[in-house]
Amino acid sequence: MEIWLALAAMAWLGVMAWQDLGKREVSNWLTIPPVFLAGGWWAWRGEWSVLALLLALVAVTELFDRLQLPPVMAISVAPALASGIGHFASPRVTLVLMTWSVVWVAWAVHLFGAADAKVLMALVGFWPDPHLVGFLIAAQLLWSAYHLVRRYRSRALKVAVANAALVPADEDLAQRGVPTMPAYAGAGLCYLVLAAAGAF
Amino acid sequence: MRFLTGRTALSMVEYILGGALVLAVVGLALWQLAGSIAARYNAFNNSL
Repeated sequence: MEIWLALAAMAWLGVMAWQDLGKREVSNWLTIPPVFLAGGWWAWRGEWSVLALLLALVAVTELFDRLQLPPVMAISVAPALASGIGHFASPRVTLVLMTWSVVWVAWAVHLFGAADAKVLMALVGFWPDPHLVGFLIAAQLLWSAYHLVRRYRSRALKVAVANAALVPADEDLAQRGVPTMPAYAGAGLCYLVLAAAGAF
Repeated sequence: MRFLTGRTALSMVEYILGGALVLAVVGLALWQLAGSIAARYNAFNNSL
């Protein structure tokens, strides 16, 4: 792994975690360029499908926005696009395409914010490694469990089960959402340090 | 373009954990079902 890229990513994750804890949002300057850089990096390596999926998802969001339709109506579009675009792709590209489509769907159903989605996409775009995906999922689940227990105490499991089949609204996310960037930053840092040490 | 311009960095912990629980249970059930169907097919194939 290029050490300069790992160091830059660590600094980037740290700044975003600090911003999220303070303001509950992250500047677009920190989220939009990396996700396009990831798509561009794959295109530069001759793999256009990643950038094509990103542009398609942006176009779908824009189209639904113009038609005043909720993006949740397009949730089947993302996996279909990913499987269509990446039909003959390598396993690493397939991992990127599938992760990006799942992340986009999770954003569309308001499970997390747009900044979180773009950061996850950029991380997996630059490091298409199942270990990183596993770290990010584990961090999200542990962070969620910690906040759930802190918020609901003994009712935490009951609340989680009760909400299992429900879809939150945009207002729910704004009112009851929890800053998650520190968890992603922790997972990213763990992965980058272990990868730089040659653990994978 | 809310996806590109959205700056929200929050997540719905209640729904994520509940969804993960359901996914785990459904996934395990499907895995068991697929395994038992595969075992029956194998048994039938071997009997032929």
